Amino acid sequence: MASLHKYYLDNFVVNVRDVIGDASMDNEYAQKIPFVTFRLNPEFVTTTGANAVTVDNDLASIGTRVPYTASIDITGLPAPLDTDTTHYDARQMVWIADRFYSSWLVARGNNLNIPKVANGEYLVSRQVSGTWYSDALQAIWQPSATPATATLYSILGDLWKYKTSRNTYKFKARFLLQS
Amino acid sequence: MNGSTVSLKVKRRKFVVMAGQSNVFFGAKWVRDNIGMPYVSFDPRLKQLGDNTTGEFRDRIIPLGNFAQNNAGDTSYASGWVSKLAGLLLNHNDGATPLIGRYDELIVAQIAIGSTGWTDGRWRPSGTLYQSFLKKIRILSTEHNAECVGIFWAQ
Repeated sequence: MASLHKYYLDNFVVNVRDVIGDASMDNEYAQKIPFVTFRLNPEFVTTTGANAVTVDNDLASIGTRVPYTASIDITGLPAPLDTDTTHYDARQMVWIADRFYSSWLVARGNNLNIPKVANGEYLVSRQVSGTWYSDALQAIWQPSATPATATLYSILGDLWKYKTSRNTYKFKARFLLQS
Repeated sequence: MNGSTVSLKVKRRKFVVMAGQSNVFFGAKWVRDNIGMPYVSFDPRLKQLGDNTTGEFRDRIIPLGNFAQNNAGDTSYASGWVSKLAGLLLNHNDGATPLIGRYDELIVAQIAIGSTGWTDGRWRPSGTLYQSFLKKIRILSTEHNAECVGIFWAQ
């Protein structure tokens, strides 16, 4: 299930914005509401293992996938002062709190240079090896080792994971090709 | 009516969501016990959401909320971080238009999210916690006519 975490997380941001867009009748504003998160306690990740690593990475990288989001950079986080390996200790929490506002500003300006989406739409952004697609064919499939037995990995096959809170699916496909 | 007029002033309400669970509780308790609530001076515009398990929205003036985690029912445990954030937002309300726009009230919606591993079905789109969260957001937007200015998610 950990492999689905990223999709749940990304969907959630979209769904919250959709709800606010519905209620306020200002969807354009709603789709830009800053969403800020931050990483799991590094000690927890170390002691828990693979699933926590996946979740931690998903949280850290949300700003590259979902517009107007940010994850607080915990580089330089003070060392823990207690033996609790699950939670941040008090000093660490105060340290993170000091970065809330600056991260809110980062999220507010993080438009990812992607097109606007309407209420209920999902924009699935995908890069290959850190760059955008080199051709249209690559945009819809690519060789992949995930799952390990697959010779072709369908990007479109990912779409089923983007289910809205209304139990519906609605997507906007836009391919960005490298020149 | 004798030509009299009635003036209605609609409050400009903003809200910020602070979602979290136990990871928020521990540090907040330390802040309370050791340094109190140093971040936010009293400001009548600043309120926080009350018990979110019953759907009851009780305004509380920060930092007077309690810190009981109470099975993630009472969400006041996030006050340490919320206070810091709200203080920063309020600080930008001096003089020029604040970055979040002008407002009469800033509601801090501390919403317990529970089971944050996302492996629990309640955090799938059709799940109970997921839908409950969205419902609270919807109520804030409609019944409270408040405008969301940010969402902070503590996994």
